[in-house]
Amino acid sequence: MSVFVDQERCIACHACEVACKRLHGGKSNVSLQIVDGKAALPLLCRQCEKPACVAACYAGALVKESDAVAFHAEKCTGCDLCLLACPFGVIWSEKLAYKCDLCSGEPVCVATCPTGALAEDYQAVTQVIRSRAARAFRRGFR
Amino acid sequence: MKLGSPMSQALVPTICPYCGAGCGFYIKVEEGRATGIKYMPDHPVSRGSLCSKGNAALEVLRHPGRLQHPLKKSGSGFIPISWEEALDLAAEGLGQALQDFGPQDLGFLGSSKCTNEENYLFQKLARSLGSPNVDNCARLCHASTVVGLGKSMGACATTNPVSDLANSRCIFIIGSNLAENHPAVARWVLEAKDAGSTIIVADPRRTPTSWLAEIFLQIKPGTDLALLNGMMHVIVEENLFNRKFLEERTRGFEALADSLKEYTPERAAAITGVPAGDIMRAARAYARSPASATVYSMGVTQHAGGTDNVQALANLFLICGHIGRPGTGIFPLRGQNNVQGACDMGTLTEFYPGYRRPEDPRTPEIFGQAWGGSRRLPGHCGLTALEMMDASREGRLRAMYIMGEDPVNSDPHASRTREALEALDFLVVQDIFLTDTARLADVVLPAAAWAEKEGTFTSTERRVQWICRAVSPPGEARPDLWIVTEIARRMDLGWEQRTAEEVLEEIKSLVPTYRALSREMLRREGFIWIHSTEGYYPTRRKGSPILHQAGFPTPDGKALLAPVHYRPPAEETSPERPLFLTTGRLGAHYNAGSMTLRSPSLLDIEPQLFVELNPSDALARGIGDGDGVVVHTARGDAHALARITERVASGVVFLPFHFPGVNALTLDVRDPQAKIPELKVAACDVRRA
Amino acid sequence: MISVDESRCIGCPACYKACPQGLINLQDSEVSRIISFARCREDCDICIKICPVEALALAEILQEAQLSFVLTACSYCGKGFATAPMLERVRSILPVDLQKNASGQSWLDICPSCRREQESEKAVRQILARRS
Repeated sequence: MSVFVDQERCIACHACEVACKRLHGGKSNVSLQIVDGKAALPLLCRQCEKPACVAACYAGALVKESDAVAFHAEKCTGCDLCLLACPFGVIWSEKLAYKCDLCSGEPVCVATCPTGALAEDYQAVTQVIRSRAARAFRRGFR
Repeated sequence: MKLGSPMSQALVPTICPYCGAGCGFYIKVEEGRATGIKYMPDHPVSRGSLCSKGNAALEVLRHPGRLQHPLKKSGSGFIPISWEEALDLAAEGLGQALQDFGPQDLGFLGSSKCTNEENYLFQKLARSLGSPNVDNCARLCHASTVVGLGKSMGACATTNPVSDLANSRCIFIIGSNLAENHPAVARWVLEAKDAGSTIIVADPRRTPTSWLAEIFLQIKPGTDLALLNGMMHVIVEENLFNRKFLEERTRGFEALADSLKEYTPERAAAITGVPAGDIMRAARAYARSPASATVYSMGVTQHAGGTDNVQALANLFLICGHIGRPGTGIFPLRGQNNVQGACDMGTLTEFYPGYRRPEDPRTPEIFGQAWGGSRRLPGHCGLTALEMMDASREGRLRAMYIMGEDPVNSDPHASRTREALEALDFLVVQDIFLTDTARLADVVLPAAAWAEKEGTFTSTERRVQWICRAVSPPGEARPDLWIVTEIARRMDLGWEQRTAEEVLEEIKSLVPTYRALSREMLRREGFIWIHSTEGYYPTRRKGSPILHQAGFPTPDGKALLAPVHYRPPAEETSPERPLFLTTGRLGAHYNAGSMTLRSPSLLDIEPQLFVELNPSDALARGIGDGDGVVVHTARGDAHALARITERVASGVVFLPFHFPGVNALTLDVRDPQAKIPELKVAACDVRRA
Repeated sequence: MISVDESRCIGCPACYKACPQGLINLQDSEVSRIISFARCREDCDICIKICPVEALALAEILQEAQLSFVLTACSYCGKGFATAPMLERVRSILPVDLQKNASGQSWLDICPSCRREQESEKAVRQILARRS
């Protein structure tokens, strides 16, 4: 399971960050990136199929667990190797590392996003994206 | 849930205290404290979502800066006093001015953040004392809507539910940054867009709202009317108007068509800076679509020609017949959580509750009878919010009662408001924090925040919703309802303390559109009020909440098309001040910042004042990104950090007005009809600090 | 006393964060990292166990160890963000085919903040292309 992003829908409202912070002791596991004042995108752990962070973690704190990448804080040594290993820069650390933990199954960013830019349902998101692309394609011919 | 008894663990339904979208959520209450938020997925507007402010809403409740005790001015500070003493002082101060100078020398500023019940009692207090000077901050935001749409259609509220935007085939958004300021509305715009609708956005800035647009019209500040007339010129020229609608439901087309002749796309392009081709594309898309919706906000209203701007916008949707059906409609997006309600409740000098005119002889009669007492109620308009400040500076207003407002930070040319309030003989301010306005008061009354009281809010789509009390207010703070009643009692008005529900009963008997409401119904799903041409009647739950389906509430049921002409901004640029300053909002903050500047999560997002500057203007001034700069106007200066961005065109700078001191720069030149100030355009320069 | 095998130490903050008595200090400047080990009474072996590369041991020496590392500069923003040995360790662990992004650049030379920027810039280019 992962949180997917419908890139066309992000309006840079920061709700995902504030909600995530609320549930994670003041630290957000999602980072809103605004590019050139022209578009925005929330970045968070992609629950990679071949997680580089898991490979780098010698302490067994990061492990693949049922289709996601789980983080066991009690094993974390704070070495920061996972931060360097993540190609997307979506692991952070204070004392220990932190990243998106999917909020125990009900991601709060998904629930709170005013435009539905964040979603758990891969099928639904791709459906929207595909029909949008198809429509744009059709328009291109007019 | 019993009133006044927070349960040990509960989910309390409430409505967000911030903007007019009126999103619902539950407050998690444990052992009498608000510990968290649960989303409300079946809410008709927000579908469970909350923006950054809604998510941070609980941060104001137990904030250490909350006013907890009544305060009396003492030297250069304040001392805490008892409620008895404070209320006596407040009543005395107002009473003295009343006695020495008369009711026309008293001013009342209501709160568009407070409930309907509270605003209703507030204006009742003012008028029962004989003062016609009662107003609310709508004067600074949608007063031009109230007057302009009132003139065009006989009514001035949003006509379709927000979710109906998903049914539009074309959405024209002008002077509104809804993606930042009404994020819940953006969902519905995106639904429409994903279904193939054309989104047109007109704004001087490339806001996140403009990201949604297929056609973006980057107009120069203050040129909205030229754009609208230019679009209408094309629609008339190319015969894209709705002939049937014009004949059956409007008056005045010939005069309008005539007045549009000079607004060729080329002329409109020259004035607005938007290519003529884009103006034509936008006009055609809007007119040709079977159902177009028109959304607007401060970019249209906050001008010295705001009423004209609104009428021009009305002309546009009227000539195309884009009103009174699903997917169409006019959406003046109201800012405050309850500014629609505050207006419905008559916290406006030119309207009694239910938009009855004071000059109509039946009005003082109806209310005189309902309110009892032997005093005659004012049968005329009084001073608007800014006029009260003028009057105070000129010695014609002696005392004011300000509820939940911070005019020192929200008024244009704010230094004059400070002068005005300092000149008063007596000022009582009621609020949840010691705002800059409260600091000028003789008596400060600590009020309960939204989650600490019961009552109703009316959102921008006319949805009346109940807020449930979740927690107790801190210290000795009390609900505004209680405070206003206590002051009234001490001023011989013979009022009894009542619950919000009881006050709502009284409102129902006097405001026809609220007639069918009940607390239970409002708690369950809210209620969109509606009126018809036959008079005012409340809709059934299943009835369509779309207004003006068959006619308009005007004497002949038709809407008026009125020629209006473009005028340049009130303050022109000059060699000393060659840039246009426009102000506006950020998603992370709210209005004068009394709540959001005290919320840590929101301060993390935007901690301080910045000014948006175009790269070429920055280069010319040797200003780099992040440099400290001074924004200079004829009225004052502001220090800010430079943010170099292409969001603003060359020649335009943008300041968010949430931070103190920004409104010291804005212009207090007013629309002659609505008395709303030109907050959106001023001349300035920016220099390195 | 803690002895540090300088040929093994990669300059990570694990032992610095782990010492319950705060005897290990890590100081970052914009370009370098200095890790210093103060005299310790050998009450525990937390740091020894926690080290990813087994660089620490208890020893009867008098010298308080101090190591310094250059912080490799991010090839995007130029700020020092990681020690070379830490990056080398990650490089050696990750499969080679994972180490280059779509444009053939090694993202390991870029700091996490710039990685986010790159990711979002890439996505935004696509968004903007679709808009026009």
